[in-house]
Amino acid sequence: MREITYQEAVREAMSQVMREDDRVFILGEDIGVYGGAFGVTRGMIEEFGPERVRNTPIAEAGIAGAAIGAALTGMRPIMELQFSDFVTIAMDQLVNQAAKICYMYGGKAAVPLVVRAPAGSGTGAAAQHSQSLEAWLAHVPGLKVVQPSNAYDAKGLLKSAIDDNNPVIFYEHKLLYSTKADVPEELYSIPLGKADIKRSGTDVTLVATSIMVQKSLAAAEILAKDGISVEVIDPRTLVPLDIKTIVDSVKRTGRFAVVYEAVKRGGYGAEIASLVAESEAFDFLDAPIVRLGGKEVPIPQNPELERNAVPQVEDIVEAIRNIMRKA
Amino acid sequence: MKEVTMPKLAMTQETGTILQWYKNEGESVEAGEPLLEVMTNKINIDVESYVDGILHKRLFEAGDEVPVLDVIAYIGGADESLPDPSMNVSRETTLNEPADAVTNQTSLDNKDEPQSRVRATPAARAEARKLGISLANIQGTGPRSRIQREDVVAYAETRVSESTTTPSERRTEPQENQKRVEIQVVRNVERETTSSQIVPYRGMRKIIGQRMAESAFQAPHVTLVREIDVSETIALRSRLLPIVERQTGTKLSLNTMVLFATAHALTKHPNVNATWGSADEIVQHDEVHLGTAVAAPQGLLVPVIHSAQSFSLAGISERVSRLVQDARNGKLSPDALQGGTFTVSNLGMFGIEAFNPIINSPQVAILGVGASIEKPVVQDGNVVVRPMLTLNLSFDHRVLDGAEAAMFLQTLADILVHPDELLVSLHA
Repeated sequence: MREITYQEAVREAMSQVMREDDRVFILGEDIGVYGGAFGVTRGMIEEFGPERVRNTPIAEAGIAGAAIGAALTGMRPIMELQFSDFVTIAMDQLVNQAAKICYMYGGKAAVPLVVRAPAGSGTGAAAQHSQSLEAWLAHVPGLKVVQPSNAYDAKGLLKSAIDDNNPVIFYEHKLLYSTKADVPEELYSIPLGKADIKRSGTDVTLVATSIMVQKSLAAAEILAKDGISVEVIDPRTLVPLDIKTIVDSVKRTGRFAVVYEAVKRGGYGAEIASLVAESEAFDFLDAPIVRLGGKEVPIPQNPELERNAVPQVEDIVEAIRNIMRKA
Repeated sequence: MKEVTMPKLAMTQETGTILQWYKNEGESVEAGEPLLEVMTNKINIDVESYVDGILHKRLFEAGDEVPVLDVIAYIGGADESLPDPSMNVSRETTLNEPADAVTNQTSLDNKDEPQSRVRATPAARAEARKLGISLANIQGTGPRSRIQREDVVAYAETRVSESTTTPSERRTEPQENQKRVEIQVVRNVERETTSSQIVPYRGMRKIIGQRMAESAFQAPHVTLVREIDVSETIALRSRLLPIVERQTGTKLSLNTMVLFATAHALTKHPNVNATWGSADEIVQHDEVHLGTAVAAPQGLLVPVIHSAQSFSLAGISERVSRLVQDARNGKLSPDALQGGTFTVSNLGMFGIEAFNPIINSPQVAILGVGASIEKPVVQDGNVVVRPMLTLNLSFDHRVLDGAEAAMFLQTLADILVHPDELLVSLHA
């Protein structure tokens, strides 16, 4: 099977769906000729034209409002936030409109909207362009939240997100865009709400999201040399969350840690940790649950400080060693 | 050496009282053979030995109340020796309390189980529950000595290899006893710092309480009160006092006169001189076995003058005097406490005029005697001063009616008001 990048996988999913379904179109800032801030939509305007690959003004509330309106008329819009940080400007549209319309109209109206949003740090883009705000949106009933951690998942999950009749926030990590994976050429779906065990292990269950999956797999490789067997689970979607896969794993390993790039305080990992503590896995816990998250600072621009603000492979290794009392 | 522990037979049971041992120290015991009888708050039950061996040591004797799961004895092979430290430990902890009948107490009892203070992971706790192991015995290897699952598993494996004791026996490992002692000591220290006092409710006090409550709740009590002029009985007593003293060396008391009169009154009222034979049988007795309530140091005792109707006044005086003395010295034989058919309780010496005595079941009536007090009374139209005595007859209304009881009281009053009648009845 051929290897393509995460960025290519996202583009391929969109393109293949658009070829099949005229209702699907994309809109966002600089997504046309420029091909998007991260090149995800590069070449798409040539194939689909400016009607279906629509450049918009720098007005996220307006983009979201237009997308929601289009969705209500029967279209299936994919809107791109140039940086996920700008979701704050579109918050009213997403939280008070997109998330609630289906409920407030008794199911008679649907908002089949996908919001693609490049998130995370590591590019030196500083505090306003490097955040991980997924917990904000995961908190709102009516919104689905997806965080693919590799090219294969990105393509399959995006297909499911577009097919979904409700608003889905699709977080893409900037540092993952250039990572490669085996990705089938044909279109396929990965169901929302199905976690994936990225690595099997017996000593500790480590739930990681987005880019932390890659870092956790690297950490697990190092820990394996010490004889510590780490099971790495990628929930892939925060809402809906496949808690069962996680709980079953904790019951096998007896130890649990969760790692996420967002600021640790109030992060989505806290939610997963609580669900585990509340679950039948409680009686199997043989160590306190550990959360690793970003430091409680805005992401700095200085590369060294930026690196230090979020969990790195060595942080994960150390945390797991502590859990195993082998540090 | 195996420990025998006070069994816990009910969820709420905190102590058990040893009623009797079936085995003496040094005797051999087989597994399944009754070892001792224990009284819980509900039932009496035989405790069987779990093991074969020799009963090396009994840590408690009949009558002792022991907290559940405390070690009460040791059984082992002929060549085994007692585990001294733990033996002393349990003896001290459990005997301390009964020894001080009154101890200071904190306002709040510390209900914390030792186990809740053990640091252990949920997995370790779950494993320990599954295996029936107390975490208190396990050394944790986790951070800050937290017990982890593998510690429990390791402990269980060593336990299996070294012994075949049951989970309930494991709970009373010496180590845990040690723990219990520490807690006990702390509590006692706390107790000394406060002023409120607690008196353990057990032993004889508890038995008296149970019997009183039983009688009071089961028998519908009616108390008849009658005040009588005892001038003549007092005069007779004065005349007889030196004679009785000469014959028996005892001082004839007014109470003895009352007992004597009661014994003879009862012979004429077998319906009052009666006891419950069973739920549907009342036994009316020909003989009067007269109980007399005595305030002994350890509590109320009712020694019985058997066949009281056959004694002379001097004989009654002699007999009562001896019974009271024995009761106060704790020397009464079980025989002397059994078989009463009627009871007299005299509180006159404390200045009590009248009271409602509770029937000493299975008897059907009891006489309460008050003090003889000089009072103004009207006699032939004149106010005169007379020594008046109150008789209080409580009877079980299931057995007797008011009139029947009143007639007995009438007979008794007649004798005490006109003691000459006694001479007549004696020859009747």
